[in-house]
Amino acid sequence: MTSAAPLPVYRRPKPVWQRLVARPVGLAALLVLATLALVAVLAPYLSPKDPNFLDLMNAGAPPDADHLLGSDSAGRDILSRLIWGSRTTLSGVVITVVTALLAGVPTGMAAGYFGGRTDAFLSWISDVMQAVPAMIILLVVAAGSRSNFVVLMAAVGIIMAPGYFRVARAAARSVSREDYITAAQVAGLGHGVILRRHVAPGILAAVTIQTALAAGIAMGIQAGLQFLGIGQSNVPSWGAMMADGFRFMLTNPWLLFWPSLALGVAIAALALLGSTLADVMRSRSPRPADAAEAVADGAAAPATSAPELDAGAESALRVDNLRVRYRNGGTVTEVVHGISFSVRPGEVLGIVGESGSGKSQTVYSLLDLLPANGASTADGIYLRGKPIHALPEKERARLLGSAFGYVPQEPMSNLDPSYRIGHQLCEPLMVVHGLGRGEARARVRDVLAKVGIRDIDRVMRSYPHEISGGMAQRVLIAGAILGQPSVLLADEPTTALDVTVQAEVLQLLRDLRAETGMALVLITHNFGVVADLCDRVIVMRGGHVIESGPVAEIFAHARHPYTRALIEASADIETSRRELDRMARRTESEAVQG
Amino acid sequence: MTTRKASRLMGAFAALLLGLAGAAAAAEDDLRIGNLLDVTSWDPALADIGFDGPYLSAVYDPLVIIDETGKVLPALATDWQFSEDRLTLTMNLRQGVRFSDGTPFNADAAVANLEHLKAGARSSEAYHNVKSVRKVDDDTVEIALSARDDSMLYLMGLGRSYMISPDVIAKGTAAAAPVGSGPYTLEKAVPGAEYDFTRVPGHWDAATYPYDKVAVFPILDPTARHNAMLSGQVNVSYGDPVNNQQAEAAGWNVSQSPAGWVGLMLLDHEGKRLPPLKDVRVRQALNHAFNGPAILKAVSHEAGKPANQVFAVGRPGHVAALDNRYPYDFEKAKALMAEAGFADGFDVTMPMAPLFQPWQPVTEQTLGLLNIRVQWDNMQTPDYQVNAPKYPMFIAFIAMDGDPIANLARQVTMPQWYNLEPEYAKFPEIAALVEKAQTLTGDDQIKAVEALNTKLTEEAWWSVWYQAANVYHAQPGIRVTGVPGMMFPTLRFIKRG
Amino acid sequence: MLLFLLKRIGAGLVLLVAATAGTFFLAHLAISDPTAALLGSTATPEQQAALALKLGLDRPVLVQFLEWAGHAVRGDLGLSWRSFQPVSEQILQRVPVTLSIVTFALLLAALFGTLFGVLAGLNPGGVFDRVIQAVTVVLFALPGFWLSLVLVLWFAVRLQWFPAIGYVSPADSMTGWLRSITLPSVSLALGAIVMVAEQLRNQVMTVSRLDYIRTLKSRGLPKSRIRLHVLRNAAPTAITVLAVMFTGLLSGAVVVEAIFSMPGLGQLTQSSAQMGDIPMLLGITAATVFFLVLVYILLDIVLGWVNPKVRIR
Repeated sequence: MTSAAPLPVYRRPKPVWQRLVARPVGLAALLVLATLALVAVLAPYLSPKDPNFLDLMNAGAPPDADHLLGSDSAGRDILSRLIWGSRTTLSGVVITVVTALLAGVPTGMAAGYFGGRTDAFLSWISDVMQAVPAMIILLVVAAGSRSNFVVLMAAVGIIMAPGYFRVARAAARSVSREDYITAAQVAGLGHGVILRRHVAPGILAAVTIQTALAAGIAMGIQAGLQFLGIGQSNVPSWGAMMADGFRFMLTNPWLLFWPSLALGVAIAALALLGSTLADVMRSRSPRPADAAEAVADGAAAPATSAPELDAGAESALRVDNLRVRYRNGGTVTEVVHGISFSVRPGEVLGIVGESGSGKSQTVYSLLDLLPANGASTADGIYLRGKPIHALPEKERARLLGSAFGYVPQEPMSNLDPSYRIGHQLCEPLMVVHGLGRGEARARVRDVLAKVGIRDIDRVMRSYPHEISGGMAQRVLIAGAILGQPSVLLADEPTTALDVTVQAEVLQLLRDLRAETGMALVLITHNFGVVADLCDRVIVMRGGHVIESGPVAEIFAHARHPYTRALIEASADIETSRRELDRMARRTESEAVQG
Repeated sequence: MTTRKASRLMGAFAALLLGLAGAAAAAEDDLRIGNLLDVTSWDPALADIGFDGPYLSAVYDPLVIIDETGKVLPALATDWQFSEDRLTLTMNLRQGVRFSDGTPFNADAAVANLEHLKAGARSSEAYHNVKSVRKVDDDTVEIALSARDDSMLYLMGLGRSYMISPDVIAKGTAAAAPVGSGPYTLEKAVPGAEYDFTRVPGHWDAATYPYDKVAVFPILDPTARHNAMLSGQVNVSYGDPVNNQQAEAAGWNVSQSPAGWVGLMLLDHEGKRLPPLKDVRVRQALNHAFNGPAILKAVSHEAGKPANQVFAVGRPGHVAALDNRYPYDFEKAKALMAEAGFADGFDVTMPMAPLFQPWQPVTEQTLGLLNIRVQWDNMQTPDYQVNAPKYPMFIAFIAMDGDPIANLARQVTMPQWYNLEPEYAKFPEIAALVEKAQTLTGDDQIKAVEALNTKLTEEAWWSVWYQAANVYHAQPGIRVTGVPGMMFPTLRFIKRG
Repeated sequence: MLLFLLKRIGAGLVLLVAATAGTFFLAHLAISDPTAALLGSTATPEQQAALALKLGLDRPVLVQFLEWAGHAVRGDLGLSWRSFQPVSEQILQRVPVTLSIVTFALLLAALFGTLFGVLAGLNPGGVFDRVIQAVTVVLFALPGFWLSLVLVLWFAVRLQWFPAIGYVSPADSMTGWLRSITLPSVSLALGAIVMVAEQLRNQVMTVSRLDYIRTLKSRGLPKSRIRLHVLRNAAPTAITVLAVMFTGLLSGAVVVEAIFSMPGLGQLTQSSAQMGDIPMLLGITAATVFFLVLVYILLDIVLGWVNPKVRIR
């Protein structure tokens, strides 16, 4: 039963910057910006001439050995002005971005975290700032400050602050709804501490990406202002050079070309840096949950794989050596390491394990619904003895809804919020199964009745947010069995529900199995549920099957300590899932260290 | 991309533009003008002389006009006479002229108009010294002055004597739509974009206006104006000298006329705020130090003439010999500074606004070489007009008038934004010359102005670098003659040829 | 819904007051004495003083503002200091121009922006997506006026398909109007298209990864139907993005109007700012904010109609 598998090495995900430079675009953008910064800092040493020295006799002269890029309309050395201009440009951008950050991020965090009136008030101010014409503000500030560069750039920062405000607010809002923040609040931590310690790191990604983009925009605005003649003409700047070049566009295009090129390259580098950063961080951020979780947790695991072969009996579903891999940037991570199992018609198979053990990945690969960066291989997947693993994508897709039914975990996030429930349920019947509207509706009513919904008319007319969680789960079960599948894959169908509803839903599943004779694969972390419903069980951990067998046997003689921990934890049905997971991880890390 | 390849690309691009610019040229019957600003107001009392000329001269006739030298000529006033003491002006009016609403032009209309203009926010500049206006008979009016005023007729001719229907003055609707007796009527207006005029049949001065249709497009951006010329949408435009070469290559007519002098306005000849300015040698050093012709080339792209005086080249009062009074001679400038005891220079604070930035670097560098350390006070252009005269010296672009007396008044004797408290009276020699110029008449007066001009230039009253010009581009077959005092001349100065 | 709208209108009014007050005081700070600029360079100090008196500049700034606000409430935005004509009249003359190019640009952005964004978002990493990304970076990096100039030089000067400058009213000539607004709208729209596309791409990608989309797939729905669900749920974002874009386009119009010499609000703003024509600036601010408040209220109504969750609240 136990076979040796190589011990997977626990790999920490590389830091963001490493993954950034691993991408050619990110590396190139960073190099360009670093060069620019270097040129700005070393301008006094790099610049071949005094950037402000006028040689009127040499005005508009073409490039020569003395002036590598030629002279501008007043006879100043273009190359030197470009070099010194980078200093102006960069220092301006730094002032703008820092101001925007300081003005936008703390307010945005507060608005998103506290919500309510604070949010309404701060958002309103942000709206006001966007409604006053920026152009007038800048003209006025330029006049009021006598075109003081620092003040002007800071004003640009204030104008750009609403951008940061929105990003920080949205990020803080979603972070503050996470359980751990609620937990921190319950634990009595002060708002300041929570904001600093928990919310701030959560919005770092969004703010970093925004900064790369904002810096690009700031550069553009700065150049635009200088282009309009706001600012000082005795300080070399790319914008002022462009304004000069613009007039000579038709007679001496080079005057416009060089500063535009410098500005364009700098802004493009920032834009590319921003989008690459976004890509790199997105692939690391907690959403989409499954993929990232799988990558992050799927490593440390003792190597026990249980190729369970249920030969003799005709199985409803049989899986041989299923592997799931995720590609993230350049690295490929395997999260399910060759598992095998089978389930007979009318039988309930429980797959048990904590988050990240590969349970959900197994379900998705059976449905062929892995995210775009995931892929699965198997020696064989048989549906009622018929091999389906080698079928083309299209034929695999045809099995969905008719051969496989799928009940997801979170009821509320698995209904399309924009459509009425009646529509969502009728649609597959009409589109996939070719029923007429009337037939489809009748069928949906039947099935809804079957899953125990009483006021069917109201539910069908409702939008998802108008019904309760338990009701939504019933709707989802109805959705899964509409096409009379032979295998129902239920992924933690009761986790998100409260206890009384859980029992009802489990009863419903039991009844449905008895009634239709379909095989049921039940994913859960809860041995209580297993005991309640399942005939057989397999225990997964870190992408391996560590134990399997009939329910009674496992309960009686669990060999693996992990299995025993799971069973103990489930004894207390109130125990939260997270607590269990934490416990599991602790034992796990001890195992790794030991 | 290699440099050579890129050059070729750019070259091809320019050639392409030049090529088609030539193709767009053809003799035309319509006049389409690219002006630099929208009409300020149809009410002549509120209009701006500088650039409203093409609009107003289409729909209104003035009492008098000026030619390009500033000489006053008859229009609706056929002739006029000053009294012996020059305090009464009697004007005979043209007969048989009607406004477009049918009202006849006569002495009553002229009186109503002159009173309206005297009260106007902008037009009143011409009528400061007017005490009263009186109808003598149906075609004669009499203007009584409180003091002799030799520039009034010139200003009237420059664009301050447009006659509109007395009805609209009475109703107060002068600004809404033009009701005049001019050679054209406004057929269609898209405010801010386009004004179409059609010829009035039988206008008394029809021969002066060769075009049946006139359209004026206000185009604020110089590049947009040039594009409109290139695309043939307009056939006359206020040009940017940057494009002169291209315009000439395309066969366009390029003309220039004096606009204003560029240099340093020196306001503290008594040395109260900036002691060094009291010394004529310091002021002369400031003249020698600047390379006027080079600045003219680099900043104004040769649109203008090198000069060291404030009387327009080629106009009465100008003294040709003075144009090279202060050739660029930096050593001499340094020597003069040392002689005056300022070898180590001095500190000065000067105002700066976007409009004057083109001259900022050269000023800073030149003064720096004389060890004069400049601190700049930055401000917006509208504020520059208010604040600049509070500084002892500042970079200036001062409009010049074609008429020597009007120019004398604006440059030296009358309080202006750039010269709030004229200082000439505190310098007896200069005051005497001014007095002489203001009392003599005819050629003697011109001579007196020239003498004053010479004295002021010798005294280095200003540091004049050059006289900048207005530039006009016109398709072949059209000629524009610029008039000092107008940024864009009136329609009578746009002719076939 | 009614209460919600009333609240929105109330907030809009406060916004209007705040924005105009801000502009008023800032403008007075910046332009210490507008009379010189208004009278031109030939004015004498006495003339300036007379004008200052006529404009009421001798009174405290707060009094001036309250007086202005009192009139504005009754729809009277006062007289322009430059032309001495009613401000409201001139703004109304200019609105159709700006609205023409902004609306047309918005239509282009809505059409092509959503099209490109959706196509890229439905197939991230695909050839189309990569091309869109590249174009986005290029357009983002190019200074705005560059494109306008290339368009003018090529299509107006070289090919002469469109006028290089000016505006024709649709009342005069429908085709003339279309021709006159095409180049300005296109140059305004190019930036907007990529911004809309970029945001929609991200939204489509986000929605595509949501749980309910997978669940819908698990029921066997074909790709075309899945796309429908994705698009339906990305729609509120698209509408919001377009509404926000509207504000952005209004700002962008300032530059485009200058380059194409269009007699729109942007030109009016620019020349008024140069001249220190404070009543005109105030009027423009008031009109713009009023209009934006209207757009955002409309947005809320449309969003309520599109998004069932908001509808109930």
